[in-house]
Amino acid sequence: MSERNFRRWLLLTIALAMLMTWGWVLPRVGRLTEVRSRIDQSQRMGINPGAIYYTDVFLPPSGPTPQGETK
Amino acid sequence: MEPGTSASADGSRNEGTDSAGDDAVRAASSQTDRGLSEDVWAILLGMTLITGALVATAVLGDSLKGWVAQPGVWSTAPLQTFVGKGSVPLWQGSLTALAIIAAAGLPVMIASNRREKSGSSPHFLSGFLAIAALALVAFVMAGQEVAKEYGFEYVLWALLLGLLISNTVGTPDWMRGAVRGELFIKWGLVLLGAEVLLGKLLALGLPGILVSWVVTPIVLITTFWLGCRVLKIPSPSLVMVVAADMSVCGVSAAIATAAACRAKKEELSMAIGLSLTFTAVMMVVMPLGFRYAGVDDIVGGAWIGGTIDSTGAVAAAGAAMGDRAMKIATTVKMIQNILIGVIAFAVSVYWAAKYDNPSADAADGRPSASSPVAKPGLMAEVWKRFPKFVLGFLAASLIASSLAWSGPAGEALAEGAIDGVTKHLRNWLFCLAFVCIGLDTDVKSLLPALSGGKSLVLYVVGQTINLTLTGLAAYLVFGWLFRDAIEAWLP
Repeated sequence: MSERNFRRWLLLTIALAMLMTWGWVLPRVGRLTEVRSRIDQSQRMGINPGAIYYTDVFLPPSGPTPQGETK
Repeated sequence: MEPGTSASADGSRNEGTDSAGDDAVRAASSQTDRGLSEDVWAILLGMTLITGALVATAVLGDSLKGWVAQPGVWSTAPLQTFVGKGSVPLWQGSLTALAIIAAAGLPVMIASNRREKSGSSPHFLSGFLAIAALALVAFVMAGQEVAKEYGFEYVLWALLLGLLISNTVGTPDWMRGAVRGELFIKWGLVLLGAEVLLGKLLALGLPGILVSWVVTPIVLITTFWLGCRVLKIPSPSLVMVVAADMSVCGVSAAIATAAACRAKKEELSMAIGLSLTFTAVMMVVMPLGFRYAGVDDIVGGAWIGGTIDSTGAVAAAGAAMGDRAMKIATTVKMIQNILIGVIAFAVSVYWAAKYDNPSADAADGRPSASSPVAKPGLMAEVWKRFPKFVLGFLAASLIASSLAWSGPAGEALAEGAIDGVTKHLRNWLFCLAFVCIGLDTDVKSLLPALSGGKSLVLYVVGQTINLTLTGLAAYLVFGWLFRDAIEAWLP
């Protein structure tokens, strides 16, 4: 097999593995009780665990800051 | 970070030979000449989009929501990612976002391609469409609920997709004209600047500032010093990106500091890979460990907020400890997020003065007594080498912060423009950038960025320092000094 063909097959194999992982493995992992409860909690609380900045999670409303004396 | 625009060229300065130093000076000069134009374009494009977003939000209000978007979450059927819950389907919002980026960026990229003779406009268009398709796939991969839950963000999948193509069949020539990773990153960073609302710094008052703005810079500087002086990692830019990524706020801080210190694309990729791997572990282990050890929710929330790199993972880990912990954790992280403006500016000035300066001493980058650094031209030289896009980043932050500070109407306008438009465009730009970085990277070149495992050691040691100092500060500030005030503030 030529180097070029080998690389094409490699790309195809990895692409199929990814398809299998996202299409079959991850959806089944998502059904495991422990994982499901985490996902449900995040969705219930409106959390985006894949956020890269705070504005991706949510924009907290402005409000009073903690007031009080230090010890 | 495209080849030749990274710190790699001036890395030769550290070898200490005159010829290498001269080469580095020439390389640095040409980088600056080319980078200047790209920096200015990034500022212009970013500011245009921010202005457009503000005007559109002022005119259309809430009806704008959903018109600019990115793919969402899905569980079993990938097509769910394009639907969403709003009145406008996410596929429509995603196409609008890509159309805006293409319409604004296309003329700039075609012009710069013509100047560099690296491609023609038809090639650019098909190349951009292919890169956009890969970015779309990266978003779909990141949107799978399990991948998303464990904090594996779209940047990772975008990078891996690019690497997969470039290291198997190779990046086709017709795509190369659109591989503009550095422009996409700088443009995205200017948009990110609008999200750095300085007023949020005060959200937790003094306790938040003490944990986020006092401990974090100490950890950053200590880790940088350890990496350069103790571990003797040869690339200071690698050390800085890993340190900022680990101590500030993960991917966004890594991108901002990498652009500010002109790190190699491999160094940025390595830092992000390390960060996302440790984040996935820490977001599960920390809440469990705190519960087992009996750490209370307020201290635990502050500890999580100050240490876990990724912002989304902080929210998920805080939620695992309860509502109060989540509120503290996300607020501490938000204040730490605001720090990236200061960090990016400080790093860019420091790098322009020390590492990018051709007259810096060869051995340690410090100016020598006889060097031209001491002459009046120093400031001009530093200014010449300063990454100008950082000014756009800061200006965007100041404009949005002033607007948000001006009153409830201004705040609603700024936050509406961010939430409805700019943050989605910024995510698309970063996703496109990481596809480009992958398409432009030979996987073998990632190995030197590991520095024989020293990068991993640096991350682990730095994170240990971070955990220790943040834990102490959380106990002192949230557990004792301001405990009553925090208790009263929480619902």
